[in-house]
Parts: sequence; structure tokens; C-alpha cells
Amino acid sequence: MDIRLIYYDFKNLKTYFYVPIFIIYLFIPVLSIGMVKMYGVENSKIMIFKEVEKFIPIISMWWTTFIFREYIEGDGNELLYCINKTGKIKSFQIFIIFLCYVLHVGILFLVGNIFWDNILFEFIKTVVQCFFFTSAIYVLIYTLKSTTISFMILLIYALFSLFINSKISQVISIFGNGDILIMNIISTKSLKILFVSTILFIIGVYKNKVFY
Amino acid sequence: MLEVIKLHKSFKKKEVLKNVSLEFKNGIYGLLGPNGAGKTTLIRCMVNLYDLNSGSIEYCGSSINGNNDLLSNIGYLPQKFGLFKELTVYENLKYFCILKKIYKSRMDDEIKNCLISVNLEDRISHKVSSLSGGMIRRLGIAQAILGHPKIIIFDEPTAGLDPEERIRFKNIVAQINKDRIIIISTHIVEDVEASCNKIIIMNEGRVLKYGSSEEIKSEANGKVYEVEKNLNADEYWYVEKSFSRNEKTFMRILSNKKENLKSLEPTIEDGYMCIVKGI
Repeated sequence: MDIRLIYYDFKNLKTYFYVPIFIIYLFIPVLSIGMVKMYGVENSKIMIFKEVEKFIPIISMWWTTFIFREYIEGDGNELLYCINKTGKIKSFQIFIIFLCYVLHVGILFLVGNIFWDNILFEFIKTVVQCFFFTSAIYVLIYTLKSTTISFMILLIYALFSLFINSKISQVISIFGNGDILIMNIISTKSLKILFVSTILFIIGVYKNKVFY
Repeated sequence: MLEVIKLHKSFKKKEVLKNVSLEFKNGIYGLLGPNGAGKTTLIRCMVNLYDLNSGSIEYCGSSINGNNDLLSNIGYLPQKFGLFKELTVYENLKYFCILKKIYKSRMDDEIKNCLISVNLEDRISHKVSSLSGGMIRRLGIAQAILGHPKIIIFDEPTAGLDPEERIRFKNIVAQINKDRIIIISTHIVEDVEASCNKIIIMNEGRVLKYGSSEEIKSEANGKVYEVEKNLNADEYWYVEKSFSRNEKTFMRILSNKKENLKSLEPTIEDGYMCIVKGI
């Protein structure tokens, strides 16, 4: 797997490439500044991270979805699986796209670190949530053979978990909904999500392998 | 030499390829058959896209299954081609150069030469999305011939193309066929008639006939007749087509019974129909 392919994958996205960039570097900072102005730096911290949680994990599947539209639904996509044997499994591509996203999220959190202390736990929690969505989209696109339907399913899941207050949504939700993060939460809930995400990723590799 | 040896391929309970054995030496081969004959499945097995249930595919005595060196010797144009439409023609081909692991120093020359072969050199900096359907198909041919593969496989290359583009395709094939195995899968008989040295006729997952166009034609010797349409059709007749001449309607029929009718010279299409329909 050559890293230059991912460069062209991103280039092929055209304006779609800029959606996560816009969310990370413009929308969230503007939203945060507004909240800080309204509630002050310390009081706004939990509220800001609660809002951040509504966008960053979901948007983590954006690039994967649109890049993999070519791999799943593109005319002649079989060429991308048959030219060499090692090129059949796209897990490395998925992982690199995920890392690119995490890098941008990391920059956002690095800037956040100037204003708030101890946001490392928030960052770890967010990365784990992003990994969950990345793994889930990986499984779904190779199972359903449709990037749009896969994206919609995960979007509905996220909206249900975030905005519907029911017992089911509490059980299946990977979101913290403004919980104050302590080491205990990271080592229990986030670890569970990480475990589930890893299982999903492995299933994704299998589904990818049997795609053709 | 490329050999397909006793190949079986099933999807769940449906057997798509049944004991297919073929040999390919340098030259142009036409793979003919109706829709659902198993042509695309055979091709996908050849390009290592599908795992085989049994049998093998060998190139110069070595199995191609999972062999990257051999796989890089296969150029493939699928039925539909239109990947990475937002990239330029150059970037698109560069993508395939990287996939085919062509050395960086050779990439630019390779891309230029392939674009010259398919007459697209003036479009090198155009976006793929701005090209016509025929041009995109030619770009597909360019990616298939990148890296000088010894085997080139075209799956339904002329489907949906206008006559000019179809002629252009035949000319490109005639240009690139030296020291190579070229396999053209199609259900359009006239596409293979002009350019192929050997024709393989498939139906229902089996190879029915392997031979030159003359051998295919000879299958219809003494079986092609012309009759007026108002004659009562015999149940053994297979009506190929109806046509009008001098205000009368005639039928071109195939029949394996000796008929007291006007006999015609068989064409390759007649031979193909006789083989597929078992006439």
C-alpha cells in the first residue's frame, strides 16, 4: 500500500475534502468562542466538550465514506482489488485516513489545551469515539455495498444516541453527554468502546476480503 | 502461454464455470457468448479477483493465484470504467502506475506513451469528468496497457460506444497486439470477426467451441437459408432476422435439416448462433 494513493484519494474528493476541515478549524472554534464569551472560560468547558462530541466523532467517517465511494460503487472498482494481491485489503487506507483526521482533531485539542487544563482524557475519549465510527463505517460499507446507506445508518445511530433520552439509547450510546471525565470512565467506558471498535475493524477486514 | 486448467467456479449453489480449459498464446482472442455465459466470471478469475473452486490458471507454467509478479503482467479493462473522475487524466494514470508499482522514474514516459497509443495525449491535463464516454473508455485502455503487460483483457470494451469509437478501439488493439495475449470478451460478433485470431464461444459456463473465425463459420455450412416470410415456418427453423427486398419480406433462417430452399453463405454470426443454439 503506497501512501501516494491516499493523496490522490483525497484530491479526488474535491470540495468534500474541506467539510471536516471546516468543522474542525472554523465551526467548532467559533462555537467555542461564543460559549466562552457567554459563560466564561472555566464554566463553558463542559458545555463546549458536550457540543464538540456532537460533531467530531460523526465527522470522522466523512472522508472514509467519500473516498470509499470509488472503492465500493465506482465504475470499474474491481481494478482497485485485482492489480496486486496485497492491494485487496483496504484496512491500511482506512487507518491512514483515520490518522489524518485524528491529527487535525489533535491540533484542535492542542489549541484547547491553552485555555483548559487536563483535556487529555477528552482527547482520548474523542479518538476512541472516532475509531468506533471509522470501524463501523468500514464494516457497513463492505457489508451493505453502499456508502450512502452506511453513512445514514451511523448518522441515525448518532442522532438517536445524542438526542433521544431513553434506556436503549443510554445502553448503546458511545457518547458521554457531558460527563466529567475521570480516569475511571476512560478505563471502563472508553476501553469497552475501543474493544468493540477493534472487533468491528476486524469484521471490516473480513468483509473487505470477501467483497470480491 | 496462459493456460486455464479445469476451472470450476460457483457462487453458493450456482455453478457459473464448469470445467473450463483453455490455452492462449500470443495473439488476439475473442471470448463470445450470450449474457450470463460466464465470460466475466472467467475474466475475473483470470485477474485473480475471484478465488477458484478448483482448477488453476497458469502463465508460463506458474500459477497466477496470488503471484504479484505475474499479476502485474495482466492489464485489465472492466466492463465499466470511470474511476476518480475529479482527477486529471495524468493523475488518474499515475494512480494506476503506483498500483502497478511502476518505477517513479519511468512513470511519466509510460503515461505519455500510453496516452499516445489511445490518442488522448492532448487531454493529459483535463479532468476525467470532462471526457466523453468514448474517451473514458480509451483512458481505461491506457491504464490497462500501462507497464507493458503480457496479457491484456478487455471485458465488453465496445459496449455503448458509437461506430467511430468502435473502429478506433479495433485500431488500438491492432496497434498493441505485438508479443502479447489480448483477450476481448464481448457478445457483439462483429467486434471479434475483424480483429481476433481465435474465437472462444461460451454458454452456460462451458466452452462450446474454440477455433478460428473460418472454423466458427464452417459450423453453419449448409444450415443457412433464405425464405419468404409468408411460407409456413418449420418448427426446426431458427429465424435469425427478417428483412425486406423488392417489397417482399424474407427471413434468414438456420436449420440443420436439409431444406429445399435458397442456401446462403454462412457468416461468423451464423456459426455462432448454430453453436449456441445447438443447431
